Amino acid sequence: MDDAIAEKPSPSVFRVLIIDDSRATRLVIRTFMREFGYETEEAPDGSEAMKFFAAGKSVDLIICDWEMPVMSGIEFVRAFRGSDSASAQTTPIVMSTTLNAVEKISEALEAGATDYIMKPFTKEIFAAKLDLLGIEHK
Amino acid sequence: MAITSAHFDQVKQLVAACSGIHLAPGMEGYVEARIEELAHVLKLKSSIEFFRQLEKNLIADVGFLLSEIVANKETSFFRDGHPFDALRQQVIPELMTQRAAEMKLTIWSAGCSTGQEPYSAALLLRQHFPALSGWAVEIHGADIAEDVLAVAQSGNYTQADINRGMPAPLLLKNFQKTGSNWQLKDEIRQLVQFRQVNLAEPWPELPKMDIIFLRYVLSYLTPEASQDILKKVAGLLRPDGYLFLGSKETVSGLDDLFSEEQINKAVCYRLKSAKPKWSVADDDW
Repeated sequence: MDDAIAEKPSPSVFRVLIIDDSRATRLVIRTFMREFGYETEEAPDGSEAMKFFAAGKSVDLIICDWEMPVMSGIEFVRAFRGSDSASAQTTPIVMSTTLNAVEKISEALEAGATDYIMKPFTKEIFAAKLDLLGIEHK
Repeated sequence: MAITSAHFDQVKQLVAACSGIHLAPGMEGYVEARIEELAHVLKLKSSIEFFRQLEKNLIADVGFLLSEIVANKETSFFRDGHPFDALRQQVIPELMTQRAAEMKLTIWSAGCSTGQEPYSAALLLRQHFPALSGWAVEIHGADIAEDVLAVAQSGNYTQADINRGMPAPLLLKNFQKTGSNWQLKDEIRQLVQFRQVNLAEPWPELPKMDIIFLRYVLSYLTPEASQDILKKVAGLLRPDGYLFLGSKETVSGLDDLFSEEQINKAVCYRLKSAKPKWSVADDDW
């Protein structure tokens, strides 16, 4: 019991789920997020991310690629927002993708994405987005 | 060739005298790169040729030219977030009540660089305060450098510019994609008037301002220039107006003029001579 409490992350720790099929991209985003002072979780596609939430886990922010095998980012956004996960309606989702056409951005927002970052990105770009979402960072 | 310390000091003095911009030790490489660019613009062979001409006093307005090129151009849409949250949550609603009779609101972004700050204010007003559509809303942007003002006036931004702080819903609503860039729609662009202003010199005629953004300007100036500019800001700000500085920037030394006020996570400054709120009620009696 005591062990379980000890392993539970502090409620003040901000947790981010990074969904991207590219290990290199996950590494870059993970590095940024840890520099911001956050803990990170990762999934290589939308389907694995859905399993993460189905297991009853939750995060404070989701950063999601669009083009991924098995379940794409846009499919994940629709599935997650439509799920009965406790945080399905409240967790901000930032799409992070090379797709930068107006129609794609519009499609992502309509599906339930909170905001959008176009690749290539930098740490400053993520910092600006976090500021916009009112999320504190180092 | 690395810039000599004598040349760096010469540039530093010329720039400080003209615009109050402080070139700190360690900025030699930055200054050298900017001078290479300036030499190219002036159709000189190199920075060596530039300094040769400088010694012979052959370059007109050289202090101003140097100030333009070394001025900090860093900016982003909705920079830091908090000041714009403060605008939305408190400052604009309060000013709308106080200005209900005159229906006029004035905002100045001093040191606006490529225009993201005044356009962020314009987008915020348009998005959250539709009641202001019948008001005379004036948003002014000023910067010392002509090249950044040209970008500001065009309202044309790269994807990297957009990525830094533009919320996707506002992007879709207010910009059109033009090739790889994004063009701000005229209806927003026309809300902001830009002009070239050297903050260290006498200012052009400007209306009294309800809100002044002087963000990430003071930290690049000499202490003397900072104080002079803040005093002029105090003269331009309406008695119940709001001044926003960059994070970590303060009105140090001018605590008799300004008081600090916290609005949620944002810090702003008010004039100490501001009419207390209760006296407005007194007027109503």
